[in-house]
Amino acid sequence: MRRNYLFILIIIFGETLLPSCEKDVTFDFDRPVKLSLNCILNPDSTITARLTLSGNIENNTSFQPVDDATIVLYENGIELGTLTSGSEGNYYLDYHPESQNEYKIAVLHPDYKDVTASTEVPQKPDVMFTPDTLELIEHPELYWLEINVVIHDLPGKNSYWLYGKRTMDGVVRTGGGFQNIKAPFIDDFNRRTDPESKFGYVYDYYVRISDIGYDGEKMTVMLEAATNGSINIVSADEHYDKYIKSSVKARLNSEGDLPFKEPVQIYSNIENGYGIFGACAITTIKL
Amino acid sequence: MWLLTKVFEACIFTFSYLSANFNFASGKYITLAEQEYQAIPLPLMEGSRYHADWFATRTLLNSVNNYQMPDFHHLNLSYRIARKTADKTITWSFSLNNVYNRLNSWYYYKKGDQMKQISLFPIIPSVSFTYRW
Repeated sequence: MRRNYLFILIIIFGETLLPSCEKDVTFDFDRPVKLSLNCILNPDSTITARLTLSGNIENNTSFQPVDDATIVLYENGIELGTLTSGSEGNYYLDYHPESQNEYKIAVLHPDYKDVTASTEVPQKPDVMFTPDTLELIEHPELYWLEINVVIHDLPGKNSYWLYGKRTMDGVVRTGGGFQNIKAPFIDDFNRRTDPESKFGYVYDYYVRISDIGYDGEKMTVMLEAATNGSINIVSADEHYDKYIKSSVKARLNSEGDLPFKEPVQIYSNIENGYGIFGACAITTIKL
Repeated sequence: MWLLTKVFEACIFTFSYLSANFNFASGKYITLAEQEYQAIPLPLMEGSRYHADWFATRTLLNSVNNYQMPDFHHLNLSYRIARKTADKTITWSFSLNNVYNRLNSWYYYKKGDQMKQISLFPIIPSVSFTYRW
């Protein structure tokens, strides 16, 4: 009799080990497929665009490229040309966009609604910098610098993104954010507390600087960096600025431990489609 | 009277209880991405091997609270047997939470190309012993 009770208890406890708390699920979302256009204009490079189709959240294959669309670019309302289709949804136009010009793009395809978007190319950031050597780092041999970066802001609404890049042993290491940086006009959306850093906080991935309250003035940023890299100041137009910020926010959300966070909608200025049509201009400080 | 009291103290009483508890709630609404589309590398991240994975896609949230999770329900059974004497009470309690092992949804996430559901509590048996004196 006792053996029977014991056997029943073992069966019940054993059954608790078998089920898993995670399982595969499928959804029946029925959303129409739309064109997804990604094109960022930069005065330092020719124009490239990528056109693909959107997919359901349970997308099991890569996004389908669209090679048979007609993409027309306008500069200040005048047709500039038609982008040439390459492969894998890539389109090219051998032309360098110019700063302070307004560009409009139109994508025409017989199976989908016409996709349009417009942007204005910003001017290259006017930047001066003054490095000051703090210490020598022996392994690897390089200098640790304190740098005052002065951005001459242009009149009008501007936003800048600071980004670090360095090469060690032939490997390009990018991002990671800034630890030792200080300025009153830095956007705190990606700031987190770090007691081990110099000022008690770090910025993840990028540092965003907004000229609100400092329009047309000189903005000074104090930061520290090593001599084997570069600091890049990206002046983004309002669309690309919102796209970057929403992308970084979404990335920071996905990195956290807790699954319950306010969802972040990625910004898009594409009408009747998805993606981004923006512009930027980059100034690089080589250390 | 004294004799009756002594007889009562010498008796052993056994009680047993069987209870069931059923919970039901309609599924709550959550905001779930329905679509995704091709993304582009953010400024100057091209060629970086450290952040390549999040270049690939961006998700699209068509509306807030766009998905209703499946209904939440579970059945709990418990059986308690108590043996009471004049100076002590021994209680055994056997219970089974979520008897039919329903994996109620807690949250969803995407792993690779597959959507996954996380549940908190599968079938959970429990046994307790209480001694009171």
